[in-house]
Amino acid sequence: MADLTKQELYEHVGADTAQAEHIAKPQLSYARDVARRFFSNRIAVLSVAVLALIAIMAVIGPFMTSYDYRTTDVAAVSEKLASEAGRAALGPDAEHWFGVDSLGRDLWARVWMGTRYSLLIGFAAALVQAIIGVLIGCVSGYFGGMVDVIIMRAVDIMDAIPYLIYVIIIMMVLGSGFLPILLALTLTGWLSMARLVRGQILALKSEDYILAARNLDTFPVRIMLRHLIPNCMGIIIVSLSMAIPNAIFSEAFLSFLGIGLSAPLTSLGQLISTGIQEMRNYPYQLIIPSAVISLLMLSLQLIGDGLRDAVDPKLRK
Amino acid sequence: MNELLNVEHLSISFHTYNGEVQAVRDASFRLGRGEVLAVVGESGSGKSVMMQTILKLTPCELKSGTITFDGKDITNYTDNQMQEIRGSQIGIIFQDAMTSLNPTMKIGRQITESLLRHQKMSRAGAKEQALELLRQVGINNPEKRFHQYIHNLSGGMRQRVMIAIALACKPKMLIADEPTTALDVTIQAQIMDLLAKLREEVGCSIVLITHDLGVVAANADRIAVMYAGRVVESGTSDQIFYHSAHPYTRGLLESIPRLDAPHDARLTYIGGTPPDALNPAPGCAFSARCKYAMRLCRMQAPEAREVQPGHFCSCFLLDDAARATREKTGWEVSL
Amino acid sequence: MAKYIIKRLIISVLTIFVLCTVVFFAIKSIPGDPFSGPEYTDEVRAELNALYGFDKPVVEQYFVYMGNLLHGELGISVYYRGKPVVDIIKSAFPQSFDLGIRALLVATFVGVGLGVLAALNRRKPLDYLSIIIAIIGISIPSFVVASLLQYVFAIVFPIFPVARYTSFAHTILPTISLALPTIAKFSRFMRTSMLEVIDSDFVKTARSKGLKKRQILFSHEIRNSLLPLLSILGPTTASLLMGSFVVESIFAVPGLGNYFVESINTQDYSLIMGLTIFYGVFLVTMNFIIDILYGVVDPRVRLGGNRNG
Repeated sequence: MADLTKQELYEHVGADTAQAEHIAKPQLSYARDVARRFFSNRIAVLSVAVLALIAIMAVIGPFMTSYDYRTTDVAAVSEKLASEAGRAALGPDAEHWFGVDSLGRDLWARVWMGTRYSLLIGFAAALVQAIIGVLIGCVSGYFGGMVDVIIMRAVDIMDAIPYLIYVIIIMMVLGSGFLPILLALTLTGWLSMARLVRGQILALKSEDYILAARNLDTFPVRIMLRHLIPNCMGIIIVSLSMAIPNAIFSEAFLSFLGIGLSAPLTSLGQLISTGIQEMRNYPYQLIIPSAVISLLMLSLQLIGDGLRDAVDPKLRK
Repeated sequence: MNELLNVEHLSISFHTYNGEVQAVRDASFRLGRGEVLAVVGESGSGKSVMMQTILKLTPCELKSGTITFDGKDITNYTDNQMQEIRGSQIGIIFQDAMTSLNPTMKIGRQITESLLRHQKMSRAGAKEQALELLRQVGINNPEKRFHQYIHNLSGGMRQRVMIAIALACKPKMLIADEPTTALDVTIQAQIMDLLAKLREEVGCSIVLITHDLGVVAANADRIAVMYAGRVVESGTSDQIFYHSAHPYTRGLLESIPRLDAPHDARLTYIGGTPPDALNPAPGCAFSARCKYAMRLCRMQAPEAREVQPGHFCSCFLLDDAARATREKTGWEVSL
Repeated sequence: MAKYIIKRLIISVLTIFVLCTVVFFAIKSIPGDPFSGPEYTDEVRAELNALYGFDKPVVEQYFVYMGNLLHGELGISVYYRGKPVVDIIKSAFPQSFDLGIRALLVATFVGVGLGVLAALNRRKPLDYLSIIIAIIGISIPSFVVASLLQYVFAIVFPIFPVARYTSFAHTILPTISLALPTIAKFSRFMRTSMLEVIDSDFVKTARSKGLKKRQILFSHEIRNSLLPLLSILGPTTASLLMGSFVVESIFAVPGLGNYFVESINTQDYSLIMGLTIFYGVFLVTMNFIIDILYGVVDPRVRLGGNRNG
């Protein structure tokens, strides 16, 4: 400042339009903004890594050992059970990394195979639920009137009873198995998604740009696909991420009741419910699959939380 | 010490995810007893934050400056000490009565709460007083309203309840934070009239925070104009309206739409947007938008100077050395 | 208010009717015969079918069943030969109810307390602790928790009895197992709810009145954040019920849940149907009461506005 004379200091320069119009924060698209916030959440990123690890093991785990998850070896087990030392040797060792179950099946292969089916059921059921839920929610919210009243009454009535009771009854009608579980879970699991999407659409429907689109006589399906669903995407994804652990939980619950997957197939829930029976003498049979399912749940739950925080506009700063 | 409230060189900042925001910078103003002071500025200029931080209602950090209220230095009062002053000596009315009143508590109890806290009163006495207050703020059938919830009231009525709460203990100072912004124009006038009437009855000073110069013109004795956390100009209503000495104040006044303007005249506005509070540029905050700006304005923030008794302005254009620029740009100050 | 109650009542009755109908026809369409075991001769089977009314057309059975239902009869158990389902429910309900209430009380006090403390200590160790407890409570399936608790505290360290439900010591492990997921849910919910209220304008108004911190905490903050908790009380009852299936069968508590699980394994269709309908009526009634209660305490609900705002 010392270099400038008083005259220079007081020289007129006028408004600095570039500076005045300058907008400090770079504008991000919504999706990139969400992604940025999600990935700046260390716990969520860690959870993604854990989930990825579990998923990879679910794919390659069963092939890492030479034992098949279905092959029983009752003879070996009863031989070991005959002696005190042999009983201790049932647990994890260099041969069977997670030990064997009471029928002599390799637990390492079973645990990862079970993880595979649990994940498959979780993701498939959640996805189908989401699609049904979004469709019904959209129709109900967009058209309103009698359609809405009927759909929402039906949802209310179904919702009065825990969906697991319906699932149990459906499973009893259909018999146990992979497809029946999927069907039972999807038939009952779309309620919350439908309600959520409906609520969002009702709110969006009164927004000016939707009114504008409606006034332009745009085809309803087009409005839904172009305007409504993209604007609900945030909550849809969050709800989807919460539905996955729910479906895995439900399957585990059904397995516990003895109406889950049927015999050669296995899931984490199935392994745990077998483990509970063997708990007194062979706690590893309970603890190992329990640890895997807990870790899986934990990571899915935390990813869901991370997504919710990333999507929730209230937290935008 | 004649002033009720004296604020000097107050700086306030708060912390966000992205860093420290200097919400108020070196602000000074005074409020005389029985006076109405209007704090004017666009949204985000720090006027609400400043007044609420004076009451210790925000989590903001007081960086420097002194606050004297009723002869006591309350700058470093703790939240507990402030509790004794809030409600009893200083009342505050917020902008949105809908969210500022507890939706699940009966209206009556929200008023008596304050009375029971600050005045030695029985429950029955407090109820009697609350009914009287409801009557005073112009609510019909107070016995019925006493037991209702805010959902049963209209916007104007809610704001009246808000006023009754703020004035329950007959405070010396009332802060009205945009009291009419959320209301219909016709109701706005009623509320402002009510405030004027109650001010006479209670005999309190009012700090009126607003961005509406129309409200200011009709009600304020003194005006403080804020821009980007600074009080850029302050003075009596006359001084500000007729002898404004700051380009920002002038810009604000010129942007009031006039009914007598030719119908094809364009509305006047101040170009540009307020500066980013996170990374303020050096110099006068308004300089980027100021068409009279000089090189110095970009380098250094001007100090406040008293241009007339009680009329303060922070602007380099008032310097003698700025004469050349004043002549070149046609900037005139009639003091 | 009367209109609100009548509306809720109609919906509740309709729900129960639909539930009974759906469950009846679903159960009837389950393939297989309850008396198909090798121990039955054709004659015995025919006799049993006639006794249970299974030989009549399904639609006729339906009307008979619904008629009996109105008299509070739920049929006769197939597995516990000749025992009315109502008697089984009468004998088992007290245990389930006792366990449920204990779990609900524990969950409410611990969950709400944890949530409030977490919100008041935002981003401090106590907050993180409560978040960790909540996440664990939500992430670990209840049958894992129950069996691990049983393994550690009853088998490895025999502090508590392994199973059954006869003394106070017997109630502790089942109560904790059943309460844990609800503690997690309540503390999360309460924390969010409290944080929202703490940041709300009306708390600022309360502070501007100069009220003491304690006063604001109890009469504004906790009071207002507790109200929305009522809205998840319905689903919570439902999830306690589902939890009771697991906990009761692991700890051999002779309650409804235990019977339900057993009836699935023994394919006792009458018992399953009876229990399902009982659960349905119970939950619908609970929801009805909760809705009315909510309407009483939160004036916004009665006016048909939404519950949150």
